[in-house]
Amino acid sequence: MATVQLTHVKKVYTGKVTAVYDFNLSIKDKEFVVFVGPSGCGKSTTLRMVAGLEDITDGTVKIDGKVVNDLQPKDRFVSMVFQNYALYPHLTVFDNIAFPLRLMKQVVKVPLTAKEKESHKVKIASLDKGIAILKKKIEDQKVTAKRQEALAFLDGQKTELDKQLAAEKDPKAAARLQKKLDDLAYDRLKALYPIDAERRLKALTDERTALAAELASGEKAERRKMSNDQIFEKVTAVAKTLGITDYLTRKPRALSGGQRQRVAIGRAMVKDCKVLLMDEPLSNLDAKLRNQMRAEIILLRKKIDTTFIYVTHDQTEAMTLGDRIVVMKDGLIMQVGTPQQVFDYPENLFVAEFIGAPKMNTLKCSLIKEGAKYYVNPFGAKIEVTGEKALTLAKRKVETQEIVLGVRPEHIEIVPSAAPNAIHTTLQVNEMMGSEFHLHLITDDGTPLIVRTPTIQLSEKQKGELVYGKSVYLTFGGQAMHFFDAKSAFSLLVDQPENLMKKPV
Amino acid sequence: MNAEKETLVVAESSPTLITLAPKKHMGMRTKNGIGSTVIYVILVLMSVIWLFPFVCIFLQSFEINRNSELINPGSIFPVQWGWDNYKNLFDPNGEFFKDFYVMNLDINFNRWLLNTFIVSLATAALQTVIVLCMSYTLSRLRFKGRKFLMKFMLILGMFPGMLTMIILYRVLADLGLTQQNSIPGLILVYVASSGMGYYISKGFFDTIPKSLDEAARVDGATRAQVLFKVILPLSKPIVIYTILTAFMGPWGDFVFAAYVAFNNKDGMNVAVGLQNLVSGTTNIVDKYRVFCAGGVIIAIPITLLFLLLQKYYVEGVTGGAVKG
Repeated sequence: MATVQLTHVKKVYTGKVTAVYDFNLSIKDKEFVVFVGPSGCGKSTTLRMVAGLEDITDGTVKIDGKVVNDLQPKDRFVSMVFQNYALYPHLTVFDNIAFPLRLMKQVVKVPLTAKEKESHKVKIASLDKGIAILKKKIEDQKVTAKRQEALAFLDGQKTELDKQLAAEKDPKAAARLQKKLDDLAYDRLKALYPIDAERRLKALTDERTALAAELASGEKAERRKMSNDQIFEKVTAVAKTLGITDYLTRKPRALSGGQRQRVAIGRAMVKDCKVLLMDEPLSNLDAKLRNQMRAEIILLRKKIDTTFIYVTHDQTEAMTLGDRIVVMKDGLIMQVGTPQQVFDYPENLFVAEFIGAPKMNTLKCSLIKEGAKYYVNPFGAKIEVTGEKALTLAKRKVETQEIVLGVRPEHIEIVPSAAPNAIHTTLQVNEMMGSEFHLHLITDDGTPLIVRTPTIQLSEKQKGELVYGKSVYLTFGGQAMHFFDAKSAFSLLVDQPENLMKKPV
Repeated sequence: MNAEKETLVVAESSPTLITLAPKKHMGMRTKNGIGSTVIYVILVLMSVIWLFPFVCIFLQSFEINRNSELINPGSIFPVQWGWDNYKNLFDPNGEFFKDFYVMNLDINFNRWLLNTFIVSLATAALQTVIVLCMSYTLSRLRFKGRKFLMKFMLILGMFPGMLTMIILYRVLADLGLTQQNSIPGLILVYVASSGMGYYISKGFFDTIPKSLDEAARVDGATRAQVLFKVILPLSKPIVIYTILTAFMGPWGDFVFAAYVAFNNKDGMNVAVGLQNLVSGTTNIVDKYRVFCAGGVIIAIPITLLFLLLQKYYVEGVTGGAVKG
């Protein structure tokens, strides 16, 4: 239950390979965000940076508003499900799920003993003394003339160094001078504000208030391990949710892939984490099981009230699971949006082709503006752009230009040869998918196209004719088109966010 | 012999010979039978040769006939059986070692045995901890100079340890850890270089998937907890292997132990003491049989250890070697 903010997050491996360039994303509380992209796009790296398993080269990661860059994974209160399950082979399922609980320490209220009360009083008295001394010291530091002198001396040194730096030509020496200057700036800051004294004062006052509060309530907070009963209760509850109660005494090696993944999810959800991270959790399962587990994750999400970050390379998983999808490529965010937004309004050609299966057809042609109307001319046909898309183009004042036209396979219709503006193609491969055919066609100039045709619309005779070499006439139009700039590959329908697809040098 | 020729033909894989081979047809079972007979004969011969000295030592330790050599020279079986040699061994002030008093040489087998135990146990404990921590560090943590360190230790390990003996003795002598104080000195030397023996356990740790570490760390474990709660339980064979090797090294050491003890009977281990037993007297035949008894005694604990942990030991050696 927490927000996650990534600002200018960058990852460079061993000073050479840049895995993530400039990652900016704000994840809301209880949101399900999916990072999706081809392998090597940096999605897992980003997730591992959130988990604390990878160092962050640059930028900040905040969980619940707190910068976690330098925290160990155990101090970030995140859980993670790994692709290869990563179950502990020497422990039973029960112990696997209980593992995080056994490491965890809970804050428990314990009444103070008489002896402790006495020692608290003594401590408070001595703290009071320390606080008084420190306060006086800070006051003294503020007024003395000596400090003014010290400041003047440091300033003099700074001007001297600045002069030297301006005159210095050797970069190494310049770097050394710069470091000296930085040190000096820190010294000056220290001289100006007695940081240490104030920090110590704060620490002492905090300690005093804490002790006083304990003394007032007669209880102290103690971090204790969870009792076995509590652990048993939690683990059985989780096991029940996931339907693995029967396997609790088994070792992981006696489980099937799906069961193992359930245990891994159970281990991740048993502790109350702020963010649940999933790194391709379904990739090791077979297709059928994957579909089943996908549905279960959707159900599970309703039961676990927390923030999810889910990494996958499978666009179907991304579409079905995510509240928001982050499409990535080569270490850059390509688009962030709801599944519907990403599918309907891809911001660039990459997203258009990546989301949706089979992938979107792309044709090089021109967008022609005639008066108030827009036309496209693939393969000599002249197709008018209608509806909302035409309005958007007009609103964005798009002129006649070379474009890449995108049409989804399900938006292409097969028509008789006589139809106006029909495009002639030859059938190469006919994939029978059950309820539909995926027709792989090739146009007269050699451009490959894919068309999805529901089988129910075709007669038995027509089905039989769909073999290699058959001539097929296609048409599409109206709303179901996407327009991308031929050079930049950006969509002409939406505004581009800043810095997108630009690799910072 | 036939079988050998046959295998030779196949091994050379000359095309003409292979086409000829089926003519001398022989059943697969006969062939295998002859082959394994030859192998077993060789193995049995080898083990007889190898075991002979140990059997001799064992049998001679029960010989109580003082003049048996004269009566029956060259016999390995005792003429007269008995426990006298063992009794004498554990009785340093007895009649048997009188001639050593004359030569101002003390014999104290109990003390040697205790020394050996202390050194071996301490070394085993410390060395195991150091080796496992070292291996985990090199296997899992990435830090500057890691590769260099590993290469450096590899090269360092190529120098014979004997070369360092003189300087080590000097250092130990300056620290006052020789002669009667040789026990802490020996432990120090054995443990000091133990980090270099990380290869096998690091190889084993490398085979444990890193995602287990990562999962444990996300689950809330510190690095130390990862090592003790995840890695070590999965590495039982290698832990036992490490303990065993660490125990055996000092247990049987002679050269360096002799050097450090420097003829002080309080600082000797069993190996050194027993050697003194047979070198420091003229009546070598009698003392030799007590020496044999000492050899049998010192072999008992290590044999028991091996029998108990044999399963793990074999697993550990092969597991680390094959996968690592």
